[in-house]
Amino acid sequence: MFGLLNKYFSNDLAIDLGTANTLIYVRGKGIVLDEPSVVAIRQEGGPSGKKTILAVGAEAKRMLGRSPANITAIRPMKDGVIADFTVTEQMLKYFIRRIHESRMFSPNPRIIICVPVGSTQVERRAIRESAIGAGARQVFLIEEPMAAAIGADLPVAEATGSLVVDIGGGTTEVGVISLGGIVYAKSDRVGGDKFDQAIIDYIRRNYGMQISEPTAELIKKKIGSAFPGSEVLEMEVTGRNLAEGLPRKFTISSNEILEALTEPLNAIVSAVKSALEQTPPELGADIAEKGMVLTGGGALLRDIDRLLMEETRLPVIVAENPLTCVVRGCGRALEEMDRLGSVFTNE
Amino acid sequence: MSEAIISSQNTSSEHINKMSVGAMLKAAREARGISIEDVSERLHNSPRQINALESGQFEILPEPMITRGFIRNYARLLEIDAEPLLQAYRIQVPVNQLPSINLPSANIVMTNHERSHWLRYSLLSIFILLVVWFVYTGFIAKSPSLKPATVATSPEVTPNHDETFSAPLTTLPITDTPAASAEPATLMSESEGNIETQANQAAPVIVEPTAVASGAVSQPIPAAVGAATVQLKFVTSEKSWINVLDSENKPVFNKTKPAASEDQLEGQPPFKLTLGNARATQVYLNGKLVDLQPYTKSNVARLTLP
Repeated sequence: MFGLLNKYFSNDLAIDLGTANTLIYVRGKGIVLDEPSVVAIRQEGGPSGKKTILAVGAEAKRMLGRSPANITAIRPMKDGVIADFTVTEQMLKYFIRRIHESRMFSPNPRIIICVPVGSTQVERRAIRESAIGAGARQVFLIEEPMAAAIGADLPVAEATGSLVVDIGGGTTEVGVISLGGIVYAKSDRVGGDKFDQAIIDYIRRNYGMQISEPTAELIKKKIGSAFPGSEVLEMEVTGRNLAEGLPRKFTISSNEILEALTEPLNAIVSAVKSALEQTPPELGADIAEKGMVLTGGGALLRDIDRLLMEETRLPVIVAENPLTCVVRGCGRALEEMDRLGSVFTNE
Repeated sequence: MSEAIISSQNTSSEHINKMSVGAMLKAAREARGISIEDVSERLHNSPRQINALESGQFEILPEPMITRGFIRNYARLLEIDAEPLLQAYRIQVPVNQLPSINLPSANIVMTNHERSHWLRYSLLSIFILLVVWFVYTGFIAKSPSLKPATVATSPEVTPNHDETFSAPLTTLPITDTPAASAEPATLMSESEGNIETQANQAAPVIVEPTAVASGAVSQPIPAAVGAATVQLKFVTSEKSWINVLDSENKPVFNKTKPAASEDQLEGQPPFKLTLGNARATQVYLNGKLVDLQPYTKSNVARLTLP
């Protein structure tokens, strides 16, 4: 009886606590929050000298790289796991308070959070603890390839193999899924952040210019590609010339960005290939028939499906709305939580 | 070439409802002059799947979500807009509500067979034991009232009474002894067929002495219980289990008595007694206290009386 009451009063949540973005799904309402995982903290001077949170989410992201000395904009998640425990907890608390109106007698929500498949027990424990610290009554963990496959509407429960490649901000998760479980999964700490860093390094090396992370991200989104296409795109970029120490403008082409991204892209290709090597032949046949499915923000990189297609010689499909696949999968697991015991992970 | 593409794009967007997905794809492919093998080479789908897409045989293609992906890939290869194709596909293959994720389960929990058999047998044997115990106790509850009446008149036992009565019962009136001693003589001499009449004769004689001795006896003794019986009395100061078997090894009395209780029993000797708490139990044979000390071993007394 109390279970029914609790269901009525509390909104259970599914959270994709990603390196780049945090998305929250509320049972019965859908995705209600999609914000960058950034927190801006101000260190106050004077006698009290306390730290206060200035902004969280999109507002804080605008402060990245533009803040004075007493303000630091932090990305508390790194490589898919928690890098700064306290800040992550505060960020989660802020997001949950924004979407979960607390009535006087409403119980705390149950929360499903996805974790990278390669995360250690300590990292999973940290995610669980931070969610409890942010006000969760109960925390369930689900591995990202599983959530991504459910979110992409793949037939996860059937006796057929599906290969899902989730390229997130911090990690790339490759998983072979059949009968509601993960047959093989591999996580590589390569993702959108590594792409940005590769672009920054390339431009410093070849142009002698220093650019910021938000600029690198913009270049990647505008002209980044993973496979040489027929048209060459160009973009004007402003950076600081390292020799002169002054801001300078220069133009960079998509072919150069392709060259810059070679290293992280090769890591993704080899992760997919090693997953295919480890897949049992029966499931391999299913995958050859259906192809693999790309999800996550990385799937939006131009021609990344072409690259994987040519490298593996298998059909590759980009999922519909790849950015929200994981949180939608978590959400479906939340809606059918009572029946889908096997998709959750222990510790 | 590019003009052909543009024109095909226009026609496809104009005739969404008229043309099927496959026809649109085929028209666009032929306009570009690409063979099915070329498409298969680029998209790494088998030619069979490309043919199925173009001829609208969606049932041999994988799940709708995958097929939509194939259509998007194909449209991008042909450099046409995928959206009208997807709309046409949705008309041809209506998207129903997302089916719930049903993990295959027959809901049979694996058990160890040997263990369940063991459990079943033990439960069965406990049940049988319970039934036996109920029958046994129910039978015992009825038997003491029946026993003395039927056994009292049997001729074999009567001679014993002379000895038992003469030795301990000095307080009993003398009139009783001649009556009792006279009986066996007549019984032994006469035929065994008229026991009934003998019992009837004996009955009036005994009425008197029992009435006399009733000072010590709390209950009126049935008329049939005569000189052939002995009287046992149990007095417990603590909880004690008392079991009495008669000469035929049939249980006469089997009870766990609470503290400070008193019970009387009459019947044909000899009795086999088992007392569970010998220290707290006193046994009186025809009103005389029996010393239990020689028969007691670890507070359980086993003895035969008299």
